[in-house]
Amino acid sequence: MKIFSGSLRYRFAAAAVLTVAGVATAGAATGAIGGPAGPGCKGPELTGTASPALILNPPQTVSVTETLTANCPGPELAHIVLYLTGPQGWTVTPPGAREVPSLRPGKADTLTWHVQVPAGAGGSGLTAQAIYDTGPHSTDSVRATIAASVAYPSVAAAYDNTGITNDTSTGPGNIDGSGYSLSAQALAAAGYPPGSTVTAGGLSFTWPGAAAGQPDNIVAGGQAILAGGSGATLGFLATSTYGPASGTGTVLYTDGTSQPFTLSVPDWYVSPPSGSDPVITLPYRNAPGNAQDQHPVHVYYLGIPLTQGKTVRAVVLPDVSSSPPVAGSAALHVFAMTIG
Amino acid sequence: MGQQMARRLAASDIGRRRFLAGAALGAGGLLAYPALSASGGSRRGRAAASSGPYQPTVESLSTHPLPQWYSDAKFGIFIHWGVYSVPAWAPVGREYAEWYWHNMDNPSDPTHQHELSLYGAAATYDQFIPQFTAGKFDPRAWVELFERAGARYFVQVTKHHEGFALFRTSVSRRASVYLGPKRDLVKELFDAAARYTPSLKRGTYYSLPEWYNPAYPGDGGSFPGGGPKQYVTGAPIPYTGYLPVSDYVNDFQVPQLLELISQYDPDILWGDIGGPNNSLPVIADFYNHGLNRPHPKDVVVNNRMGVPVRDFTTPEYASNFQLNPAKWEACQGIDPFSFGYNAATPDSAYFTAEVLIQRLVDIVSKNGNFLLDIGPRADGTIPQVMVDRLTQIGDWLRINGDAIYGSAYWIQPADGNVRFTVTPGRFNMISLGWPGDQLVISAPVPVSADSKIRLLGSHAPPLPWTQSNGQLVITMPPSGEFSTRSRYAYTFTFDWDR
Repeated sequence: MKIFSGSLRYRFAAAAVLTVAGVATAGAATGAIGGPAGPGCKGPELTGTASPALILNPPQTVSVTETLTANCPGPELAHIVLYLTGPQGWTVTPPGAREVPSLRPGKADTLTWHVQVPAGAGGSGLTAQAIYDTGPHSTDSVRATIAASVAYPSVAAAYDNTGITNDTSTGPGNIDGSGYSLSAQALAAAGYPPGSTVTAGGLSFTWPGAAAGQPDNIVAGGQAILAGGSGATLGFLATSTYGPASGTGTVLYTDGTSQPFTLSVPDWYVSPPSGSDPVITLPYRNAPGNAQDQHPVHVYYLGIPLTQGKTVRAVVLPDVSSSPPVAGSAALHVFAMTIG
Repeated sequence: MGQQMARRLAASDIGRRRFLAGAALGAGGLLAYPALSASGGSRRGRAAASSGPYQPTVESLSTHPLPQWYSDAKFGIFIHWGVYSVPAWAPVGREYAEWYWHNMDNPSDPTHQHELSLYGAAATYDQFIPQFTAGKFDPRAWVELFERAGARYFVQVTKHHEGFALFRTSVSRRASVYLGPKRDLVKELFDAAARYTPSLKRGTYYSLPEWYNPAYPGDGGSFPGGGPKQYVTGAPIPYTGYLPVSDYVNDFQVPQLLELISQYDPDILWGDIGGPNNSLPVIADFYNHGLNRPHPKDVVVNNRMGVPVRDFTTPEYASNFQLNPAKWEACQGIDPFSFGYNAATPDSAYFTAEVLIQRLVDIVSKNGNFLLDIGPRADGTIPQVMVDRLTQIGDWLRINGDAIYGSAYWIQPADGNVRFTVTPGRFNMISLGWPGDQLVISAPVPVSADSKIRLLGSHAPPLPWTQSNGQLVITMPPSGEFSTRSRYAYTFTFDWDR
């Protein structure tokens, strides 16, 4: 899984790196006290990994490492403690602050924790934090998020975006970061009320059962979803806002093997490109202020061939967008997923 | 300051889009910069100053580290002083007084009626300029007040949206050196600080757009540009002191920013609004200007220069804060809702010391700095209520500053009314208000069996405490809050031998 480090990252801008040594010398000449020293070096870096980072079936013990690197010239980092905290219900061992010997520039230290994720728990993201002194009158903190998440039991459990609203109450809708949405009335008129069956690609999907104005789709950001079953095809009902979105997901099989797949979803507001399968086309979309924008929008069917004879355990969606969607950035929305 | 965050962000976004569009055309915009710098006597030497490790690209400028001094400083003073300090009026608690000109031009704004009844239908905003006298301006008293307040830096508005510069500029005569006081008010304040309060860092605020600059292209919103109009007739009127330029950004805005850097050597460059700009070379120049000297200094830039480069973000008149590991700075006035002086605000409506001190603590616990604004009068006097507030904050910081300056945020910023900070060798628990007979903390603070918990500002012995079921219970001294000289927020601290 991807490791997200803190915002204080060393940037490898070639031009800047060349000058680091010279600037550091100049900084030392002033006798300046303090952490960061000169261009190209944002400050100490905190990183971490969780293994496994994807928890399919709690209870599960996760092994977590956290590394603090004193990657800038300047004074040593002193009186260091590292912390690790997890989502509600997760138990971090050992608990509390853990001391680390002082780090001189260029040095790093790593600690390991064991995190117990209890049965029935959900959640994602561990927070790593280092606190250290950079001088006699300065203490600094740095934080990083370590990716670790419990798989969602279903697509509906992972809904994090409201993409369908009533024509007279468009306020909750925000499929595109600009407050637009699909129309519940247009969907019903096309034969797709909440919880209805959608047939596409020879597969049978259940359209989101959420009431209009409630979360009804997943903004694909690397979520893992349990999906037991076997068949020839993994199918999605999906669309994309602010441009087409494409990314690589993973099918995890019960035998421990995995299969990457690419999901390329056309934009909802453009004419469907040739080769695409716009299974639902609505004549208009809902706009902020209970308004309707008379321009067609589409939801697409996409099918991924599965390995014959294997049983799917879970599906990891492409990590190509984040919720809530942001105007100007493409977001990939999944309404339904099925195997058949 | 802009009137509303939303409006500013919209303007800033417009600027970003325009900038990106410009960048897509190629390097032409950037290459034009040295030629621009070479013109004009006051900008001689610009090309040399702009060479250095930082390049005028987002990638290069984004490598700039946050200076330790800025992270440690925690508390600064903002100064909004300009021609708007003459009318000094806005609907109290609802609009910014420094937006007077913009508001008087809006017939549905109460400021329009105020202008009509006080100054008549034939008046113009620029008629206020001669009344901006600075006649009692005492820069030494100002900076000594800032230091007395416990501030570690100040940021002076050098030109607000009205376009009146408080500094020496070669590209306009709309400035305090030519009109009004006929003095360089930025130089006077910066010189006083360098001489009398040398530990105070010095910052320059600069509004990138101007509402009515004839050369400003306009943003389709609050900054129309294209020259001012008489507020009743709508007839075009002069923009006093204006020297014609063809390119607002490159012939006016960028040269003025470079003048601020070269003439006053600020530690902080605090842009506002964003919008049309050519800020990448300006910021590169600023960073390099700090480094290209025998004793380099670390400087800092805010997030409103119209480009995606920043050392910190700037929530404005906010009261609910979240911990943000990326450095931020909250700004607001002592006035309930104005940065510039509003003479209509009664003393009783100003923020109390209690609110301001507790807000400072809350902000610091969440990795922020607090930039608290004063609005001096047109003659340069600082209203007593503002002096009083700064003095009260200074009194508090003298007792509790050890838990504020140079501190870092902990894993959890708050537990009920308590805020946490970490300083070298110490763990600090700051209670917003007196806790009563006991202080109860559920957060996993790093006490150990031999920890001695002391109350700052008190001569009382270490306070008795117990810990059970994850709760720390500290017993307050028998004489309660009167056992400490502190008021409003109370620091309980113990040694943390990390």
